[in-house]
Amino acid sequence: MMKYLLILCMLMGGLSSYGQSRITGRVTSGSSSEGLAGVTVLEKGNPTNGVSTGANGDFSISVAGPNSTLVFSFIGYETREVPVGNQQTINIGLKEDARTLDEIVVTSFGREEKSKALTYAVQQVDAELIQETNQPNALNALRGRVAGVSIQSAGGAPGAGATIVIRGINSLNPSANNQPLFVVDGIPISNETNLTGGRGGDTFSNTNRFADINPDDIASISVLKGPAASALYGLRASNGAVIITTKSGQAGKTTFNFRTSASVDEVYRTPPMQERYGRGFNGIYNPTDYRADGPPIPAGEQVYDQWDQIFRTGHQYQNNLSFSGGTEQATFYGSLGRLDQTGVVPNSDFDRTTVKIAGSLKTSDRLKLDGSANFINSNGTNPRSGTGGSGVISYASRYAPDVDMNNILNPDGSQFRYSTQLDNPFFFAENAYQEEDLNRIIGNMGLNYKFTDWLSLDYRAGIDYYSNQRRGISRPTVLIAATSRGSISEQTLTYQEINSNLLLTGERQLSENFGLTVSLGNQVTMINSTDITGSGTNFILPDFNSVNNLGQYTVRSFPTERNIIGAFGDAKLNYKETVFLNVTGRNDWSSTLPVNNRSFFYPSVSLAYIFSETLGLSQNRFFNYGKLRASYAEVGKDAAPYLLGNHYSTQTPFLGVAGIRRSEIIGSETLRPERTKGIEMGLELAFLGNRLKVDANYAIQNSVDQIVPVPTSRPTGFTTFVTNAGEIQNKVLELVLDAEVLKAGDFTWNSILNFTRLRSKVISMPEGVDVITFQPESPWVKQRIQTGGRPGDWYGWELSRVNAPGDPANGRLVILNGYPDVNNNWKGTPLAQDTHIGNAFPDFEGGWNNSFSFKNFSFSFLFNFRKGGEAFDINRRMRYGSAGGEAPTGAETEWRNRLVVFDGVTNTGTVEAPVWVENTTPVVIDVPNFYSQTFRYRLAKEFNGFQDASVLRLQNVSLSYSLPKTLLSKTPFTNVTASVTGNNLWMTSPFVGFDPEQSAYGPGSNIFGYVGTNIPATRSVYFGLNVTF
Amino acid sequence: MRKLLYSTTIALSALFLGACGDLLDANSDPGRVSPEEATLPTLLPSAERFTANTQYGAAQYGAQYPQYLAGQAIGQFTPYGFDQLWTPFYTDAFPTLQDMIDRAEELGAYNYSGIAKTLLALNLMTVADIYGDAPYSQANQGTANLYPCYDKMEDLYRVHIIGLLNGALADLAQPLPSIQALRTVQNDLIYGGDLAKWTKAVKAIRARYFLHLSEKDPAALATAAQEAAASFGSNADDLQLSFEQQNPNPWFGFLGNATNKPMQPSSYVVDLLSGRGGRFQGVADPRLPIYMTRASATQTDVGLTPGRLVGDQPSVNVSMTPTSWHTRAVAPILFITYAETQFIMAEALFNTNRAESYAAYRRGIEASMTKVGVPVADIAAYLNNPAVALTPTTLTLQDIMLQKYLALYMQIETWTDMRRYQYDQNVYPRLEKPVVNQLPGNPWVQRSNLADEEPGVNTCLPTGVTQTSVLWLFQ
Repeated sequence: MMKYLLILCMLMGGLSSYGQSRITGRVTSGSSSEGLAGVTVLEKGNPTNGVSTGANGDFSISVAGPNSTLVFSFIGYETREVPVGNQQTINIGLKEDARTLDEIVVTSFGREEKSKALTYAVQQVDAELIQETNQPNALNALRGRVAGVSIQSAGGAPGAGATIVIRGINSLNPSANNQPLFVVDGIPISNETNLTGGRGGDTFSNTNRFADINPDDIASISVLKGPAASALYGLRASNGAVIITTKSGQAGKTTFNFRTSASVDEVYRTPPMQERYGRGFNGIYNPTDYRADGPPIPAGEQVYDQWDQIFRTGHQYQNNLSFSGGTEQATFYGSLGRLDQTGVVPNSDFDRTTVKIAGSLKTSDRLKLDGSANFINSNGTNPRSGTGGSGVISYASRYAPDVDMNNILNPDGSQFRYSTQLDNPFFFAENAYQEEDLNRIIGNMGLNYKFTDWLSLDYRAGIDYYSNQRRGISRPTVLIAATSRGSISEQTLTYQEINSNLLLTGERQLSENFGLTVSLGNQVTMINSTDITGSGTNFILPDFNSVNNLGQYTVRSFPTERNIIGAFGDAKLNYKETVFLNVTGRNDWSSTLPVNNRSFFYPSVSLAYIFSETLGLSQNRFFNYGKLRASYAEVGKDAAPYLLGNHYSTQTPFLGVAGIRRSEIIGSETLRPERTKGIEMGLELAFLGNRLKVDANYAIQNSVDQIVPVPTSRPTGFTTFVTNAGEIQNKVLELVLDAEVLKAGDFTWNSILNFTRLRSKVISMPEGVDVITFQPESPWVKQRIQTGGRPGDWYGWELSRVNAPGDPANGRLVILNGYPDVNNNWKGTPLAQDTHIGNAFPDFEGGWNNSFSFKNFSFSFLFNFRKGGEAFDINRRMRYGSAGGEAPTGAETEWRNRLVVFDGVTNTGTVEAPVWVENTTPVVIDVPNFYSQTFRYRLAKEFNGFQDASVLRLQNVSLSYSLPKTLLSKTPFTNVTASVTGNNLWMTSPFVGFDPEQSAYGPGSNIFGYVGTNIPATRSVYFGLNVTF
Repeated sequence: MRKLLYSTTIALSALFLGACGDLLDANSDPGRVSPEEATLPTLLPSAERFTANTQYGAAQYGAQYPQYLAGQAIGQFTPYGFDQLWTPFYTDAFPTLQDMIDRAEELGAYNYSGIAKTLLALNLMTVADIYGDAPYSQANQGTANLYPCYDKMEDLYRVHIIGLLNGALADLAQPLPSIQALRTVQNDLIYGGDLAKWTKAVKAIRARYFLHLSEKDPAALATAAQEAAASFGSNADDLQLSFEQQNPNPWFGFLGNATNKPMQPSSYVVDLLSGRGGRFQGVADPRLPIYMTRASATQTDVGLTPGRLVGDQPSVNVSMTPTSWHTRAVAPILFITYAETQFIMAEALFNTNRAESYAAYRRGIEASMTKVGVPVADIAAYLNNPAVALTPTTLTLQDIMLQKYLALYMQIETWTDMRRYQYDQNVYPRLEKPVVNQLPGNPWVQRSNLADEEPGVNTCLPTGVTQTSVLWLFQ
């Protein structure tokens, strides 16, 4: 590097040298015939004699004589030495170096920076890792690969979305959007999840909009984790940023790539169900009872497994054709992608078609133009699911084992319903569902103009527009729509985002030791959305799927507009490429804040020091690289549109008159921007000539002045006051170990481990609000946010145990009236006085990826893991309440409706002076006492579905084989690769139920830990073929 | 090329600089209405509907306490905070009515303010009767007071409710507003802008008020009787809001048309209607098949024992259906009726003017039956049945209160009556506590719990509230 710098200085100084013999040649990239420009060619032992290759990779250098050796070096490639001998022409190929420290990382505004010069935490994932998973939603492909980043999928419904959280929840508001900013080729795009039913909706697993991007078009994804990294993107990146670079055309031969894959998808984890008892109640047979609590099913009678019946095998077919080519002046890239998917439940499918074209044109040495357009069309259908009990999964989990679920219709064509409380899941899926279709265009155009060799201007403008049509149907033949006599909702959502980025960059080597890069920029963002929903009830005709079929209907419109103007500056100073200082400042003006507060400034400063350089360790065989980073940054954040003050809204017409009313929400007129303040410290080390790299990072991020909808006392006349209040702190430790474990001949084994430990704390709450409670599953468990607590804290009730050290009964269950007591009820402890029983977030999580290659084979597997954190299985109460589920230990199922004596002790003394004696009271284990009406058993966290959600998961395994080049040389093909990939092949978890990492509430919400009601995630095995020609 | 670049840059800068101001002044929602655009004629229908929601909300689960309905855990006396009343009153009805009062007083539109004060007084009395102490003087102030303290029930009664009722009478007597557009009350879904009817309604509410207050001031009984006499003249005057097929009565969705009904008529009301109760024995009340739907006309009608859950008692054979009078789609929500004013008069005059008390008792029964469509002949037969007919001398307080009980079926006002008499078996014979009572000590429920919404968001809460503490009015 020092050498490189010297050369650079000399070239700038106009020095040159003269030697005895002249060597000419061309340097190409090892993997292609493309020339490599900018390769440093040095005469060994004579560091003052060097040149750089030209645009085509050509060079010419004079050397001392035949004994000279030329050293070819280039960032990202392995350095090669070539003895001159008597050659006059040297044409060589440089091999790409997988283990360099000078990886090119894409950061804000699409800038490519050397990882070495970065002063903050960024982690990049390359295309092949994304594509080899075959995940149609590229966000799922990032799972387990990036430290500090947690990704949860919303289940296995075709088109289901995924949630990404970078460095923890930073809002007190359970329904706040905690998603990072998504940027494609320098222009932000929407990753909104327009959940049916609003944020926090749970009935359909709607897609997060980033999933529209064809994974095959992605070249790399960088995750900017902290405020220092994302400061330049301003307020929309206060939760971090995900920077996507898409593929672009390469000069040279036109290549075509065709990739196809087909999958087999199956539900891999289902809750245990009992098959011992049929329909009835308290052991008495009743064929119309919804409960499976009748007498034991006689031997020989057919029983049915609910899950075997309802789940089918799903398939995904992905086909992608892309072509790329061009000249030095103009390049072109085009792709056509198609995904067809059928789900694991009835009436569930999804398809997506994507078209992308991208081109660039270099009109002169100064001006470069580029542009791209991406069109996406997707269509999907999914049956209703969700936490409410009226969903396909819920009905299946409550279906009695002695009823054939495939007996769907009565002879007259109506639904066969053995109980008035339940719909047949197949019938329900066909009659309560949502259809969606989406059309989206993402386009951008950019120009880059070099005024001089050190000053350039980059301007880029982009648009992201989508229109999403949804039709939710509940026919009157299903229970949920019986009262309303059928309901339909037709919704049209549109979203339009226009971005304009202007960036002026000056880059100068100030002196021998100091280099400076200064950028000044302007960003304008204009976001408009509309939501027009026509909905109503009272079907006129039984099968006419249109709002025009309704006897009663309303139409509502929710337009929004949000505009942001930002101006920013960024200065990077480096000293000897050893110390890097980066200072940024940005001012934003947002339309959503009060006039007096809508302009706000926030700075960042960050520093990196490559101390190994100072210590002269770069050639050390054991420890060759060490870098320290530190940064402080702030990012502001504006409000959602239209939160200020109060307004009135119109009511639906009643008796021919439509009234108006004042809104129940009032926003502070003096709302200020939120701020996220972060300190980050990092350490990067490399050992054994980069064979082992360590990147450790510790960050403390405080989100202050949060804009929170504070629930207010109803007598204020309002339900909600939107104001600045509260603070959350996230402390995160991120660790990435990257090792080339083995390299012997053609065999390589690389291993990357990432680890995240996150601790969040509520520092303060809005004044007067002690606690914000989230309890959709009352009275089982609840989540509470309160000062000193941690977001995701669970509260609930434990079984009572004797707490009398020294007493032989110590630790045993307290039995009251024959049944285990809960929450120390025997002492009179009220239920309101509950206990902190856990947290929805893990103690730590991470992923471990291993990739092997041997000749034409490559093989990789990725484990991900989370330790600790509890999830609440909502489905458990559905299966227990109707007695269909296997009880926690199995024993209760065995003993149902029989007399048992619980193993525990009862108090024969007083509350103050208890006397513990062995429990001898026989009680009957029946459904009313255990699972349904009483407050006794279902409250206990030991039984009610609340469980440890630790998971070790074999997330992805991929094996591929490329036909040997020698075999292909006589064909038009340059590469043919066949692959087999598996996702979710294996997992182990103490959690009993569906997958514990599958949130019941949709992407984009802050609600975690409630699981078990969505269409479950699948194990998928893909067979793929990739052909390049 | 350079020229092109410069001109583009200049054009773009001009575009953005020029547009900056407009871009940032974009925070008013085109889909909603500004406070300035709101008018009295558009607030009134909302206020009336919110009042219906408030009255319904009080009775939705509360109707289990006077044992009209049974079948849910609340009927087993588990803690209940009446959130179905609290939220509709404080976030819907009260703000809208107060908004109307403020706007109307500013515009001199006392016709509108008189109506708003009438409905606010009615709702506030319902709230006071259920919660005792409740926010009023510090309430509805938005961000100016985020933690409203509670007014004492005594102050609600002696200052605020009567203040509103007096104000309503005064306002309705004021000259019509000078603003032409406001001279006729528009969009009045209840009385079509008939101020004379509103004046009668104020007097009916005043009759209810003074009857309640007589627990503290016995002299108020006479006033109650006077106000009742000056109020409604027939069922046509009833203060009620009717619903329509497209926007059905909330009882319709909750009970009438529900597939799995959460409640059923209780055994107490069914026994009383079928002549098996503590009074009117052997008399088949013609209202029974109108009030509820029987499984069969020949079987003995059996209601659900209070404390039992729906489904626990297979012998129950009556239920609320889309054809039951109160749970029809187009049924009205009754705020206060002519029948009630007659029973107020009967009760108030029982000890002072027995003849008039007896006459009012009979008018009350007749009004109730006429209201729900009992044929004239059946009404006559019922009234002539000796167990009902009685004489001024044989008339007892029991008869008045039980006939009022039957006339006010599904209305929450009956719970106040029962608590005024502290569930006295002499007034309500055979009234028994639910068979499952989850409140410690097996008490009668005296009031609502603190509203569930309140703890955690209001720092000025009354302490020591339990559902067993007797409210000031009933002490």
